[in-house]
Amino acid sequence: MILQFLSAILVLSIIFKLVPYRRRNFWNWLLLLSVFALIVYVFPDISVLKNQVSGFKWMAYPSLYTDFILGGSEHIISAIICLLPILLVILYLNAMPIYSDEHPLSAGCIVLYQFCALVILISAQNFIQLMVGAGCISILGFYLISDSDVKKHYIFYSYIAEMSIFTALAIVYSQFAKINIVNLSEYGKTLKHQDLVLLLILCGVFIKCGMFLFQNYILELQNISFNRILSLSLLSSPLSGLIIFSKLSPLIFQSNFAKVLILTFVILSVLWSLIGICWRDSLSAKILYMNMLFFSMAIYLLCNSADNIYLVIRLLPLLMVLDICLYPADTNRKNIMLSSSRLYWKNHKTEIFMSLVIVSLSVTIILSVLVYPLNYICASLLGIAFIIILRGLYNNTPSDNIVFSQKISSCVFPVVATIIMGYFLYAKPILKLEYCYVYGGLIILLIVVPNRFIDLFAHNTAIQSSDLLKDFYNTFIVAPLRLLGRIMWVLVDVVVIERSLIGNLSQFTSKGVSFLRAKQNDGLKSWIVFLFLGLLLIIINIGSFLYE
Amino acid sequence: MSNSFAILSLIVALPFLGMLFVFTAKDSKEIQGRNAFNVCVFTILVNITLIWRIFMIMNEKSHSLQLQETFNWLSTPDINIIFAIDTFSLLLILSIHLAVLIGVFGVWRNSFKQKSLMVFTLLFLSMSTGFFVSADIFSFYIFFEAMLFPLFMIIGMFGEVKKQELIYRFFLYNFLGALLLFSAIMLIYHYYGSISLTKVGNLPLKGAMRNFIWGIIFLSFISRIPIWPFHYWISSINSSIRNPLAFIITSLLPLTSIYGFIRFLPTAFSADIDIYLVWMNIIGVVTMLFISLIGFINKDFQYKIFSYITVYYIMYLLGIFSNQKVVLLNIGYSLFSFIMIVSALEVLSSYIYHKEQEYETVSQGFLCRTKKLSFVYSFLVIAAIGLPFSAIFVNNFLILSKLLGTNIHIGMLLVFSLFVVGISLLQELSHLKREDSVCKISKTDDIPWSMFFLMLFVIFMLLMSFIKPLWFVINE
Repeated sequence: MILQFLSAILVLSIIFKLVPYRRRNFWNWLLLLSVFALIVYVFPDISVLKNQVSGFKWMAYPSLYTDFILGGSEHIISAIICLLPILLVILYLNAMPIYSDEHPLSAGCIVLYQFCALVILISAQNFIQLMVGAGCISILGFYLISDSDVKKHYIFYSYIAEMSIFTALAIVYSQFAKINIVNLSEYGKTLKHQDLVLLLILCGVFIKCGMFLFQNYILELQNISFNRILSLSLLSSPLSGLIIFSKLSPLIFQSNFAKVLILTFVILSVLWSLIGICWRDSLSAKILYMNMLFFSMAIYLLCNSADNIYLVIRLLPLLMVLDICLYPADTNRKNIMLSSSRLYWKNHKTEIFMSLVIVSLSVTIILSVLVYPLNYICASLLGIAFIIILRGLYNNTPSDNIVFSQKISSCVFPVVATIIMGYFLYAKPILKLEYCYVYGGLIILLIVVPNRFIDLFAHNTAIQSSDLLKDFYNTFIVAPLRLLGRIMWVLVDVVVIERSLIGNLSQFTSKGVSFLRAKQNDGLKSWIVFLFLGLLLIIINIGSFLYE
Repeated sequence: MSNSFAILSLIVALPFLGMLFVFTAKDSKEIQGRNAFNVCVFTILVNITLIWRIFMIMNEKSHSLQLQETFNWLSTPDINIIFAIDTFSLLLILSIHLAVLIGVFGVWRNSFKQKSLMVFTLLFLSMSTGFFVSADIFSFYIFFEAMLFPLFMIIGMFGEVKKQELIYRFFLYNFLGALLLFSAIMLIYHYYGSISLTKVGNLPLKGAMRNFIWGIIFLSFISRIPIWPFHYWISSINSSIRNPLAFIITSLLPLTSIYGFIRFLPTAFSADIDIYLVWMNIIGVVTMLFISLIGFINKDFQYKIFSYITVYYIMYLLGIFSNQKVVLLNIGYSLFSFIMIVSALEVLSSYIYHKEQEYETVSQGFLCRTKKLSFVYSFLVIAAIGLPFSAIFVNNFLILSKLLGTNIHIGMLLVFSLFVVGISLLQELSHLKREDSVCKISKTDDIPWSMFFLMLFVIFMLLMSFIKPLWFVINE
């Protein structure tokens, strides 16, 4: 059934890719409704789906037989179901022209492909399907980005990540000649080069998740429209990184220093994202930093148990709602600078109220579903991040009097989400008294965080626009590589080969030719020399014949 | 499996006959080689159909040479010409035909010496097909050398920069290679007579004679592969040719050596050969690093694509030295996609280059204005760098895993080289996709629909080959 569902989605996206550019709003709505109808048709009876495995024999290469499997377990089906609201919301935002996007229909079609790729990745039970799913997500991300500079960095980073994972799995395959993910823990015990495999997998995962040192390409997404940001940060690389991490965790934790390394990167990423949330002026950047914080914490959760991936996927719609609540729709601009465009909170009471409700509910859910002390750490961090952004957004300082035209359309999903979460809390009373410490702390923070602190570096161009990591990479990796290439070119190609090997050969030939030309003239001396040479050859020939 | 109908001889002869037709075709300023072009395309298409037919009648799972055809050439000395094929060689023949077809479409609107180009292209196609179907040492040698003539002429006519110097280099290296291979063939004939290619790998040679024969065979093949220090002449030639068809044909030359290694390599290595192989691996990897880094710093796309081709050829060579049958077949599948990708990319980049020359503008931002070109170009680059869009992805995985399993250090350097050439191609892609107001290219400069459909066909082939390498084979 899942296979049919994905096939139908693919067909839909191909059809809508071909429709004319005119009446795009109509087509956008039609796409949304078609996908919704399809979901309603396929997912009414989840209990049936949970027991179904769709698949077929895929690749029959010599020495490599790969099955293509979709679904396979209850967890996978529920994860797919959790991703469906995100898909619908993004399609809805595409249909509502509230964010400045030139080709929303095209974006919608790519998001559908991306969803299919994600399903392939989540269902992966072998290396090939895993790499194909991850690779497709990267490639579709490339097509989803509309800005050329962002596109460039995105594909470079994604390529490094894909190559890292590819190499790590090639090393594993070279030793065991098996591609099943299920048996990874068995391979891991006797795996050679464990540390190398660990580094390669973590490099790929960290890049995909946009962790510290690799966050640049994710943060650059701030330059594209918000509906695309949502697709790329929630249904794209970071999530694929988490899924890969959870699937390959038996390999990762074979190495002794895996946990230390992961923890170090998580701490650095959390700190970096908190700094970014405080001091970056761009609202999109702040939201992307908040997502970075979320994914860093998700890595930490996965470090405790690989099965936490399903929990993380369940929390994703929550993150999406938070993102939408925090980002006021502005049809005119892609990127909003807070210092130069203040919101008048009186005009946005609904959004403020709802975002507060959603954050409270999110914090409660995180507190209740995670184990101690993870629940306190994650809930507090998410709360802090949210409050800092909220303080930056909703204050009374007048600036250039730009008021965002928030439309009620963007509030529909937060309202729905609030109702669903409210019902969840009502059905499962999970509130405990000790959670009050967290709520109290967050309320105090909301009151005491001074705007001055958030605005501290708003006009500091060095902090706002400088790219330390890019400079670092250019100086310490790209420049030495370029220098090495130039040295090799000059030294080996020009000096050794051109000036010595070929040059010497050329000189030797020309000298030989001029020598022979000098000897082979019509003078008496050369006549005698060549006559004797000829005679000598005849004598040698006759002598050898007689001797034999 | 014997062959009652001489179908292998036919696929060798057909391009030759096509060449004769083209040779006698009417050519004038008004027609500008259109007749020649049409005959060339028709010939290639017919031959592709025949090759497809051969795939149907042969057993693609068998590793042995099939559909054997034997012709008695000389009775004293006793020399027979034998033609036969296996899946690997037929796949290469098909890929060469497709590559040349793509290249021919790339020069569709050329007016400069179109007829001559078509004549030598068909001659090259005939000779290279003969080379891949040859199953004895003599026919192998004859076709190995015979394909140099059309190449020599094509480089002479279309190698636009430093023409004389390039031809001199081409002649020098290939002449030395030919002499060495000839000596080896003579020695083998002297000891074992005119033998089939399948037996060459199992010759019971010993001691100094064995080292000498394998040494010179090795040198003669390696002289055509852009491996250090032989890379220089190929790089000079490739980077100077701006005609896409000529470039594609020239870049197929190393393929003949790769194939030669597969046929001539001893089936079992003795311990004293292993040490040479280690050195060979080291030289190969160092060359890959070296060429990939030069491609990385070079701004000329022609050089970038040359570095890409070189790195991949050397990877295949190292895969062959691993001497495992499974790897060999994977190399064949990978080469099929690789050759098509390179040809299509070359045709498109040549199109961009000529537009650049026409408007005297920069190519930066070219793809922002040309949707069709942007789509196919991006796809091909992404497939070329090994992301999951073609058979290159799976086969690289298998080949690299074998090499990583043999020697992790060499394997990692190899991966690094692949990564650097991938980055070089991505550099070019992002350069073409970056918006630039100076670029005078408009929507009307997009590729014509015919070329777009051809590229879609290539993409279709790549995607299908990714799912199943021999998807087009329906056994009877």
